[in-house]
Amino acid sequence: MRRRSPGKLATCVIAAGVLLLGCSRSEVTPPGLPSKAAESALRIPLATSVPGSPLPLTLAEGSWALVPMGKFAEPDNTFWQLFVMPAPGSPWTLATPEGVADNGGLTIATDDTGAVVGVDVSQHLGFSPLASTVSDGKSWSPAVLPRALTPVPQALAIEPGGHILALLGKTGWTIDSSDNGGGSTSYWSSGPQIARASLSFCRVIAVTAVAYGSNGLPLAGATCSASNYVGVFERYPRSWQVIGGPVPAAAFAIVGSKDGSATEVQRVWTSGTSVMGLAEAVSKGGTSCLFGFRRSGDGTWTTSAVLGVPPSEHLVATGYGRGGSVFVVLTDGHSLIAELLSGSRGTWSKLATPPVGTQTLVLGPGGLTEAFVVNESTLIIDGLNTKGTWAQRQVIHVPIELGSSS
Amino acid sequence: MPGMSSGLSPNNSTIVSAFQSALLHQALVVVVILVLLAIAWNVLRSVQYRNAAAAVAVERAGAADAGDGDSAAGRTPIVSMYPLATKLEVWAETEPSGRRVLRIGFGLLWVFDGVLQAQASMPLGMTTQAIAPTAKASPAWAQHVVNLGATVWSDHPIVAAAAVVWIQLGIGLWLLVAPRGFWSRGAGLVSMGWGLVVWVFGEVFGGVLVPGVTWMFGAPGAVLFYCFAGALIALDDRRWANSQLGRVILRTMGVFFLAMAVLQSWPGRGFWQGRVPNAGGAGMLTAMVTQMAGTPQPRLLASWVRAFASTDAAHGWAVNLFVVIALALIGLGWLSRRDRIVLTTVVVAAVLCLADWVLVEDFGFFGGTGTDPNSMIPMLLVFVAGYVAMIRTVVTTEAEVLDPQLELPADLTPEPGGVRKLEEAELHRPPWRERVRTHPAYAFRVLSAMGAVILMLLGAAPMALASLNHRADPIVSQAVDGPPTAVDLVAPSFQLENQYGRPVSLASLHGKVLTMTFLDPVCTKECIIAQEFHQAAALMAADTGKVDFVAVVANPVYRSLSVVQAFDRTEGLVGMSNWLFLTGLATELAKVWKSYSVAVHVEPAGAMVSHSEIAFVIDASGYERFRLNTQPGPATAATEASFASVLAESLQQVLRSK
Repeated sequence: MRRRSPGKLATCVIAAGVLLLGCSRSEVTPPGLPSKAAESALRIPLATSVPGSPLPLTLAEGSWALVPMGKFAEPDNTFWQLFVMPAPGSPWTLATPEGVADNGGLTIATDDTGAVVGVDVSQHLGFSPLASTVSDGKSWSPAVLPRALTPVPQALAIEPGGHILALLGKTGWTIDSSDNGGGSTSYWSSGPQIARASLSFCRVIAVTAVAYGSNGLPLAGATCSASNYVGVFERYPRSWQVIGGPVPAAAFAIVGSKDGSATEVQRVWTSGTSVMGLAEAVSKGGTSCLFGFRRSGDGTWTTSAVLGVPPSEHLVATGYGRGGSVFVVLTDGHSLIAELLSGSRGTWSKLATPPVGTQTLVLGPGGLTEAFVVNESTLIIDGLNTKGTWAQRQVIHVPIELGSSS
Repeated sequence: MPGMSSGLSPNNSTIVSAFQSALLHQALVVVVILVLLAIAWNVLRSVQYRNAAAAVAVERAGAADAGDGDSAAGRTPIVSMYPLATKLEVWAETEPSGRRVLRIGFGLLWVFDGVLQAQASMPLGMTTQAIAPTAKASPAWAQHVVNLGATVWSDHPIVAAAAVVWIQLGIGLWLLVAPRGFWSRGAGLVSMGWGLVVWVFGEVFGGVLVPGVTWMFGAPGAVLFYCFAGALIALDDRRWANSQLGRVILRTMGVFFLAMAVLQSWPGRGFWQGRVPNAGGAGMLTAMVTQMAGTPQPRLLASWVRAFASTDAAHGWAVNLFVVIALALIGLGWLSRRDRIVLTTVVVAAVLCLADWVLVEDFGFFGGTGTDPNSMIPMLLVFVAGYVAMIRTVVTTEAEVLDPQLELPADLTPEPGGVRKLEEAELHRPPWRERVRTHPAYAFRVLSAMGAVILMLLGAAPMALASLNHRADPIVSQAVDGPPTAVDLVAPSFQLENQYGRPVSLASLHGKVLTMTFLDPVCTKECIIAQEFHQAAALMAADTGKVDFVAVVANPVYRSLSVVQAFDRTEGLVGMSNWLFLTGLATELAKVWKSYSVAVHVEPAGAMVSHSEIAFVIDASGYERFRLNTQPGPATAATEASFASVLAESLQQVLRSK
């Protein structure tokens, strides 16, 4: 019998090795790019500004703004800051709640009496502390949520009775409903309930925003996959009902058919008896478009014009002002683009290019638009003047403790 | 990869001095072993001398009986007192030349590698600088496998690093001193086995799972050639008796070189470009070589490597073409049946390997954490040994060299030309015990091999024990925080409430040994102390009822019961029966902080509350016995486990002194 040559065996082994070497490279993500697994299910920026509580007598409202500061390349040296302008025309002041590191981000909810801020988790922190104020951030009362807040700008909602809604978990699958301070708490398995409520309108893959309606009932916005529906839901009395409506037809001209696309509710809030919000329709290829929506008290569903967003651009900040106006700040990696959705006309208009370093805009009282420009620990607040140019209005130096979280 | 690093600087002075001290102590043990072996050798020599003298006396008595009695006792030359030994030289060490090349070559390489392992930065640098970079780019399953070994190393850096020094020195010496037979083949097997361990855990499967793998940088892993050589050394001697094995070695290397040529030529892997125009960076090979040039090394060598990097940057395509063609031709040359082509190929391959070793691999062992001279030298040894084995199939016996006039047994008389086939010598080999008893050189080699094995075991035994010991060495924690400070003070009293709202005072805890620290329940770092307490509690499971682990809230803002309960839930402390997280009013807490000299500051602008990081060990009578710095340092799994060991040891010490 002829013996098998060791050389042939070696050939087979080495050939297999070469195949292994050749194949192994395709499994590795190039350095500097996030792996698919690392991509977040939600892509809603946390930087924002919202109207503040109406002042007694005049009912004039101030504003709140949330921006990241520090060294953005280092998550442990990025600290989120909360600024408040208590009354129209007054200077902005730093109002970040103390006692907890906020490298993970902050979330704010306001009502007629004050504001609640939630701290998103980072490093070893596994649950979200809360802080509430009725004094425009001069003093805060601490509280705590049992789990981590969903990292979206509307993960919290409060109503004048003191109840808090909180989206928990990475995809907001649970809503915590409690009085302010955690005295009584109930958990809703909101994701499955909303998914059931949505029937065939929407395949819910995440709950992305909570708010209270003018009737005091909880509202939720969701991300629907393969849908031509905007996922807005109202809880009444113990179940969720769809109150959203169809995506505008113009959106499909940009993102293609509903197959493979998703519609994500970015923001939802109440203005008078109307439920308003901002949604984004996203195609499988990454092209998306933004549009505003409004459900009037009589149930009428209207949507705004759509704003196309190419895959090379992404959102930096979103927010809203009084009168239903919405702003978005986008970047293509090099420059910033700011667009304003007029609440009354329902059309998008491009604002003057925001200054480099802008983290959010504020739609203030009297039609004043401000840009929050961050340079490490310095905040520069620029105002958009009537000539359509940005002019510096205020500078705030924030005592950021670099290295305190690393 | 949690176990991949202790997080400390490779030059951490505590670890470096502990490593050097351990090596020194073990070197003293080695000296003792050498002395014992020397004594054994002398005893053996005496026995051999007595046996030989007795044999001579018997011979002489026989001669005297025959009437030839004029020789004087005591004047016999020493050489003639070993007649049997001298005759046995013929069986001695007829080692095939190819095998000898491998054995001595790889023996020296292992010794050199062992010496490299003694570099000061090895205990901490091995995982972070040698293993982690390759592991990070490898698939998850490979990372998982490698992490098992890396965790043992990170938890026991001194033991592991010192162990590798002695294991590799032992294997090297074993190969060098045992030329043939059982001991020699055993050395080959051990060399192969240890090589596999190093290939998997030290080289992360030789880096073959990483993108950009290339022959020029050591694919498929230098140690794989050690394994190959070890397997060849372990082969039965008869395999070396003809040219077949040498041809198989060279053909295997030929196929390997052809495969490497295909890999090197594979498009899209970045080796055809010296520069990447769009990305504005260096091509794959240029980048690798430039990185090597940055390794601390003599300036002249760095300039050579940089020069090659510049050449590749300018002519990347041509350089790669040359390499691909050279690899392919070498591969084809060794598959040839013509000896002259094979010889030419060996010479060309040797030149290419040496050029690559100097200009691309940059010698492989500079920089403080180089563990071997990379792949080119072992590869060169393998194919040179293959060639030698192919052309030199017969050997000259040592006996003939030593004593050409020796009268040999008839069946062992050398063939014309002074050569004799290996297999014939094997047939007449006496049992090893007889050779030890009668053959001084053989006895010396056996004793030396035993010494080398003991040297290897000096490393292997502690390493095996360390891999079974899940308690990390305290030295890692002490490198961060220093050792615990012994004190003898009355612990300040306090009155707070636990995480369930029940009142707790120091007096109520008397009778148990406590460890107490100060902890921010909404911390984002430093809260690692909670897990360290948890681990220490697990280490002290037998004394659960005698020890309490206590933390006092160190945050004047977030201090409510709901906060501490949320912390316990997320840290998995709810089920820990002897865990107490104490809180109270801000004023009550401030009083406790002050009495224990713990500073707590609320920082502005989204920063964590800062506080002193300290733990106390308080005995059952309420006396402080130890203070431990609880700075987490790099806060890795190794530092965490090590601190838990230190804490558990301190608690056990206080328990014993109760």
